[in-house]
Amino acid sequence: MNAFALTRALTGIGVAAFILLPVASVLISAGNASPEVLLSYEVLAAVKLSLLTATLSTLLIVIIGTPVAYHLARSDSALRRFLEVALNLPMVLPPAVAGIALLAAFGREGILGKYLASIGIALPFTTAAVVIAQTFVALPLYVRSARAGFASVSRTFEGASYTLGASEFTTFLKVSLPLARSAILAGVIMSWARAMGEFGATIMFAGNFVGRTQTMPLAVYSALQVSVEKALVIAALLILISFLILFAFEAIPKRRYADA
Amino acid sequence: MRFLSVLLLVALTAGCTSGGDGITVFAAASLTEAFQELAQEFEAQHGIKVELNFAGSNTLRVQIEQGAYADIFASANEEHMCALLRQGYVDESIAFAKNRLVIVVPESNPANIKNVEDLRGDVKLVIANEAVPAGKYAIEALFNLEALYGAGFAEEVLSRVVSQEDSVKGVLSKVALGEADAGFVYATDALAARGKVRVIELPPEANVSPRYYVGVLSHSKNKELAQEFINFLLSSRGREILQKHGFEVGQ
Repeated sequence: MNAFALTRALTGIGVAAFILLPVASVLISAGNASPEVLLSYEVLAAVKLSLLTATLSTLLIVIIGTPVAYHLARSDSALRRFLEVALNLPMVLPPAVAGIALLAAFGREGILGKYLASIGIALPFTTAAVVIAQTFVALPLYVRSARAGFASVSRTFEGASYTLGASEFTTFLKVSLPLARSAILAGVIMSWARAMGEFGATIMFAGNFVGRTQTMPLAVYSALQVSVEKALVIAALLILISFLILFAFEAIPKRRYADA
Repeated sequence: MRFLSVLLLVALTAGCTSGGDGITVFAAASLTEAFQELAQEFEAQHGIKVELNFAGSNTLRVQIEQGAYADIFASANEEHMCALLRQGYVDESIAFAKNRLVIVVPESNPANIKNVEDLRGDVKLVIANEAVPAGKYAIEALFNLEALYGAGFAEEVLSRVVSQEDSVKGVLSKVALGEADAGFVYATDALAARGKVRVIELPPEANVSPRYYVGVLSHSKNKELAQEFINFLLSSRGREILQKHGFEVGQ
């Protein structure tokens, strides 16, 4: 083995250790925790709330993100360029900025929020605020993936569908959507994972209340201020969920027919 | 490559500046304004740097237990100081100030709260987490109020809580922003945010009397200077500054 290959191998081992050691440390330390911690009210409430809100926001993301992704893949209008920039913004915004931005817009004294408040809708401190925060940060991940999926569907197939008399919508539903399904599925998993991990925007916009707005990442943060043990247990659960996400990702069938 | 290594070197050494000519003070969030002023004068007097870290006393305690370096710990209650004394992180501590709890509402007072009993209505109330001294005191005060407003008052008001913040400053900002209708904070915090919040005093017989404790950490590398800071805090000038920010100090 030459020096270059050796360096590469050693760096690889070092990088793997750098990533795996902290993760393994959480699992090992959490293993010493008593089972009552796992079954405590706060932990169960956080798990339930996180699963619920991440799933709701992912559903919302698929509903509003799919048409946008298709439009991005098929159009070349000025609107497309504008959408492109707007959609990339949440990915580069620091989460704390996203939080204060949501407050400035939808808070009770916010630009839009004050009108909502005048008709009796107050978003901050509600579970809905958690879903909004998660949707805000995770939407771009789904749209990017789905858009790449739609873009890789050859227009020949869509063209064939049109010639056979199918409408644009039917073609989208019966041809484009099924052919892009791997990328769509990958987008769903990625945005769900991002929603599960959302912290900064949630704590600022939705507050921190057990059972209503305290998702798992917020529970880790709050628990650390009282008992390290409880924080480790919730962190370990989040790590296990992350592994499940990775397995789900691997299980996505590879695309076969998308290229003509 | 050279640029990268220089960057790395800077990043690695940046964290090591404390411990030399200066002291690090971990202080309860409610002490923010008072300690900033104290530190500034102390710095000018001694020509050294005072690094301040403010958070809920419970957070600071966990940070110290997890190995964070500090020369001084100032707690908003006895509990967290005692825990560190018991474990040997602090050798001795002294009480140096008192505070009281008040209710704050946004200047616009959206829920139209005029007195303590109005908290029973449809109100978005924010308090500090019950692990934070300010949160614990708020719950204590609510139960004290049952003597005036009847049994069940505390439960009723606590059901209006929409968020439990990790420090009293978090409560203050949620109210000052107008997102919450009311919050329990220290009188000193309300004073620091005058103009943005309105104060509703609690009946004195139901109020709590939070006591602040300060001590030098046993692992401090600069115990003399740390002790001098505490002496300054207890001096007449130190007490004057604390009083200016609304704290009660002994005679």
